[in-house]
Amino acid sequence: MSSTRLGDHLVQRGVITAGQLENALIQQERTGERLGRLLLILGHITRLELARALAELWALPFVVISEREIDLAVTQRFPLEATLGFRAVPLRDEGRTVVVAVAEAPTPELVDTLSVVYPGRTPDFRVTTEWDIDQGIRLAHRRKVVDTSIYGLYFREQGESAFTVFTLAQYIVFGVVCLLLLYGLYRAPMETLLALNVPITVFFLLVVVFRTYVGVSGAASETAISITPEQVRALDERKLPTYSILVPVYKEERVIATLLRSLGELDYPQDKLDIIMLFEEDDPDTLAAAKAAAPGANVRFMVVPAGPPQTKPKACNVGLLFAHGEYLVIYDAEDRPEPDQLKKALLAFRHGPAELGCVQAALNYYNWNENFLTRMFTLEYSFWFDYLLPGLDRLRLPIPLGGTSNHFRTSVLRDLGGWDPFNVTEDADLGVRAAMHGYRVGIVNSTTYEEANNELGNWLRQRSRWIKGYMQTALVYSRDPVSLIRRAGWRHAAGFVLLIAGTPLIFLIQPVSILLTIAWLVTRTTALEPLFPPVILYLSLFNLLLGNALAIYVNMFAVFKRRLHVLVLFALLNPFYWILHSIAAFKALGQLFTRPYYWEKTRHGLTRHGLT
Amino acid sequence: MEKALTSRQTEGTAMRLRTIVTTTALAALWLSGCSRRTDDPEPARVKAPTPVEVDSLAAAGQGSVDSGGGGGGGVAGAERIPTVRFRAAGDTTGSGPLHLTLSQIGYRGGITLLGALDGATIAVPVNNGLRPSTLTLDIVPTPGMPAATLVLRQRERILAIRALADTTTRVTFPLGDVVVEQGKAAFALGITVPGRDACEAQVYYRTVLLPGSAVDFTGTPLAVSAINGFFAPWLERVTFHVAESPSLDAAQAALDAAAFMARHYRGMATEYRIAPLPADGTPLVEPGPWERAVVWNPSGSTMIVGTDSGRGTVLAIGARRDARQLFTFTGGADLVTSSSFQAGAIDLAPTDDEQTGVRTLAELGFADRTVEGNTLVVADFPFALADFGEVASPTAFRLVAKHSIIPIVGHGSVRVHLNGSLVWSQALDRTSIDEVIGIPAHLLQRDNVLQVRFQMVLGEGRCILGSQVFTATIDAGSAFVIDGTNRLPPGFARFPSAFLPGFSVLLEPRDRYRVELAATVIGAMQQTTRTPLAPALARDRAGATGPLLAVGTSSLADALEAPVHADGFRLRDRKGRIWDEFTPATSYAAMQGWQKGGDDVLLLHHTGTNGQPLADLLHESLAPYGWFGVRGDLVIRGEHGTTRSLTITNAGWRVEAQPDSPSSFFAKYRKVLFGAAAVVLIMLLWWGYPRVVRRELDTAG
Repeated sequence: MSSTRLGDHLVQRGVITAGQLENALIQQERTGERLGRLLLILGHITRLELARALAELWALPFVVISEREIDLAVTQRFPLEATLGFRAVPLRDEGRTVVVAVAEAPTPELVDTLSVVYPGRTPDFRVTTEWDIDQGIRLAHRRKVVDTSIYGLYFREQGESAFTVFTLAQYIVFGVVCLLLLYGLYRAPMETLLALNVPITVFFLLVVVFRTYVGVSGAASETAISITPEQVRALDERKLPTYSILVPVYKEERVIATLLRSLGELDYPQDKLDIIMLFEEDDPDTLAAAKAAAPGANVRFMVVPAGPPQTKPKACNVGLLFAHGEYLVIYDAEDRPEPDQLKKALLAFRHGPAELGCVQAALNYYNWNENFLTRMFTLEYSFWFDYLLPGLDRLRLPIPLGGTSNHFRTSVLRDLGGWDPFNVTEDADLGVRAAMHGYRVGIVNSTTYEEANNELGNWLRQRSRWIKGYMQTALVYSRDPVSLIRRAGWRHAAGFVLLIAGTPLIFLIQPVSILLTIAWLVTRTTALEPLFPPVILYLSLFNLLLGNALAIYVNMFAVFKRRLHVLVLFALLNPFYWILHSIAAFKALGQLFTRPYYWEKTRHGLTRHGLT
Repeated sequence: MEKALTSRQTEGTAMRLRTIVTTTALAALWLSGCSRRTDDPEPARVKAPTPVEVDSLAAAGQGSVDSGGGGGGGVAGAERIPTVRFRAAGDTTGSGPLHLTLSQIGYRGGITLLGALDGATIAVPVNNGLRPSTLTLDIVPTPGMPAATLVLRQRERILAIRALADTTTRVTFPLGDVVVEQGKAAFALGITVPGRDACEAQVYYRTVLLPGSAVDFTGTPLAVSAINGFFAPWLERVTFHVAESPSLDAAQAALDAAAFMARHYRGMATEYRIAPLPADGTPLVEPGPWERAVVWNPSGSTMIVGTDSGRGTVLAIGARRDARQLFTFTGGADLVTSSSFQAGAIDLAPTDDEQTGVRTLAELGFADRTVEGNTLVVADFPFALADFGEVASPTAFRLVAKHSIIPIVGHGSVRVHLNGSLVWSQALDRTSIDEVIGIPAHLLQRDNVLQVRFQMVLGEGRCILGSQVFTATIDAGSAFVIDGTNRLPPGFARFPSAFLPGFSVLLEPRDRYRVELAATVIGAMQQTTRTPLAPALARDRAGATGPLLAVGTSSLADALEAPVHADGFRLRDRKGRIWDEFTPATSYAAMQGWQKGGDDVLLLHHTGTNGQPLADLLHESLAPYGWFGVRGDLVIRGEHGTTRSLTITNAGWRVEAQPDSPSSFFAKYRKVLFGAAAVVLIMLLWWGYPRVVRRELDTAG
């Protein structure tokens, strides 16, 4: 191994100029990152040049990994976990030696491990690029990567996977309840409907009270973890860890360039960002658009092997396998996070308790003023992320994560088993699972701006997926109610039921209530009287009048934090917006039985508004 | 001129008709000695079967009465016969001092004493072991009435005298010296109001004894030891226990008992109920002293239960024949000499009233009636057409009466009113009356009041206290002349006349609920007439012949071609306006009376599965006047509505069947639809199982 330093070697070889080296060294002084990576990020060299230079310095041959170079039988003997950990890909067995490609200088631990896996063989190291290492892993461990990303959680803890939509016991209970209900409607319709109405009314009331209480609690605290600009500025960039950013994209060729630009604007040392773009195999257009955008060297492209379920969490699980960062965050293609979000999240982790496994940034919309849907969506999101989630955090209740901008300690995420690819709201599921495993989810005062759905069909697709996901999550964690209460405690269990199970239930029940009310208002029929004995009538009236008013009211004050006062009156239109939710809920219910894992793709890039 | 001629022609026709009626009446009176009419004015009709024909014992040819085989005859097979146990109450429930109001013992409207000199007889039922102690009268006197005197007497014995001012509201009489005969204490209460003008008093003074006035008793009711003492003079309630699906015999006995109770406790507030037999192993608690329980218990013999230690208030009936003797024969219970029936001791031939063309007041239950007073003296004779027995209507009334002389300076008249209309009048110029009065057919109703009014105008200065009091006695031999026609219009008015001498009862299905409904109707009808009703429970539709009381569902209404039988219908008047509407989806209950093939049918039915509206309909129709208050030919009630009475026959009403609507379709095929829904649900669960429960790993997505 040569004693010449990498920078000098590159200058001597004429790959970079002395000025470029000096520039990189200044950068290194600031961030502490390795020079090779800095030069890559600064665009002074290519990966190939860096790998060749390193090969010369380490006196090792250079290799480009391709299918021809790999003997799958040999490569696959080296476990995927070891391959990922050492970033080393055994290529072939040459009798007395085993050829191993590396992108980092080989360590004694790697040599020891290789001697165990390939006894009697001496490692013959070759240098290659980081990309080639990833390529080699994908070529050799394609099946394993797919299995791990799909069934990793299922094989680890079946009870926490939504692969089984209903357990046998749940299905039997469901079937028996349906049949009993039918029998009751036949034998004693009014009594049965009354028996149905009582728990529904009480449940409705509890949900109204719960959401109001949580919302008010959230308003009182606003955000649990508030990071100031001063704290952000005080960060020593040399001590910043590597931050992985997973960006699952699918048919997002229209927004991919904007996304890369937004990521480039993040206030975090670019050399410490490990950006993994996750593409689907059947989506070459987005991949081509991403390549055309010429992203920096800190961006890795990863094509997720095809195969059902083709869901975002599956892609994220692949990304998680390859992620280097100590922390990890997910952004959607249309996301525009506030530049200092990563630093704020990092500070939140540092200032938070040890069990803080995840930090959720607020989401909001940059095209809020586009039409009715975007305005209502913005109202809803403002309440959800600015009041409800902080309220849940303050009350120490499980927090269903938002789809993006959730920051993890990577080790915690791996400990939790990653995302459930069978759950179409894998984020909410992960938040609840984290709570079940004793981790906390915090809310940080940073916002990611997204594109609000401005088209009804698109909105219904997205919303039905969310509600279906809530149904899946509710079914997963209600499989063993005793265990749920024992593990999470009464408060968590109650919060889970009222929020996760309550949301789809309310949307399913709501149209029936509305129709009954309209029928009564129009016909003044007395036929409904048996269904509403005095106590239930008063509770129903409370739900109808005060309950809806409270829901609208808390939605109204949601706009104040964002200073979107023009939306205040739109809160009054919430009942109409809730009807759309109900339509989506019924669609979700149908899909739960017919296509439980089907990922209703939300199309992005439809807005005519830019970020304001 | 032309008008006057027409008037004279009408008068002439009326006079000729009157002559014919009178002649017919006299001829009928002459024939009154004959035991049976030989001519039948109505065409031959199918008669309802007599109870003998439906007696399962008779049908089966079994003779043993005390063998307890009454449940046999092939009908008990359908009846679940639980083990019936009896347990003495072992407490004093209901055995406190008895307190009976006038309304409970037959004086529902109280008693009104007219004028300055009037009286009323009060008959109080007295159970064995009890004695009446006091009579407390709640009184409403006429304001300004002079101080009066109330006198309580039994026969000619004065028991007590009390002063009565116009402010008095309560007067109490001791009844300790009242003689009780055959379970009854009958005494007279008279009022005397002093005053200058007795005539004026007759017109203006009213002393009302409110229905809440009460008789209190002392003593302890004796335990019942014999069947002939089982139905005490006063009972608050009699409960007949039968199985949920009673046998033909049990149901027949319960219906006979309903008629019997209405006759035995005529006018009283005694309640008759049909209740389920206690479940197997559950003892039947012996009721209190003012109640009786009758248990259909074909596994045993007919006897009073628990005579050794209990009150003896439970009667077990072991055979249909015993029930028939008890409930359908005059004095049936009195024929029983011991605590249980004896085989072969009783003649089972039913009492057959002689049918003649004349019914005297005595035969209708009225004794000689003596009335006294000044100015206006009235005697009422309420009667029902059914009191004349088999289908019959009075055509004339022979009034036989004697009266005191009219002072020379005065004059008087006698008038006869039927249901408020004057039908005859005559000056009082002798001391006796014997006149045959024609009765206009159009004035006759189901329930009638014949009123004989004597009106006097005394001479100047004679209307003073102590002057002559006018007295008249209407002879109980006064009689109605009847013929064999029923002139009442179709509908409820024809009942219970149309049910005489017997009628079929058809219950579909034959269950306790429908037995109770039929029993309620029979009891209510029996309250209106002294003629015993003889229901004959039919085994099936084919067995239901002659006049019919039917209780069932819409399929029975269909089969009987009832005017209202569709599941949904509209009722339009002759102008086409809709007055009532029931969709097939909304169930309703109806009671309707009409003629089918010459026989009268009274049908109670309900649509849908909920029979409660029918029970509510009957309850509301009979409250508060019983069958007296039932009018028209259709009573209808929805599930949540009120009960409405209508006359649709010959009134231009149209009953239009409602076409099927989605809701009616649902109501009609409810069972099928729910069955299909259950099958679809099960199939969906079956279909969903491999998709959402038992998924294969390689089929994910």
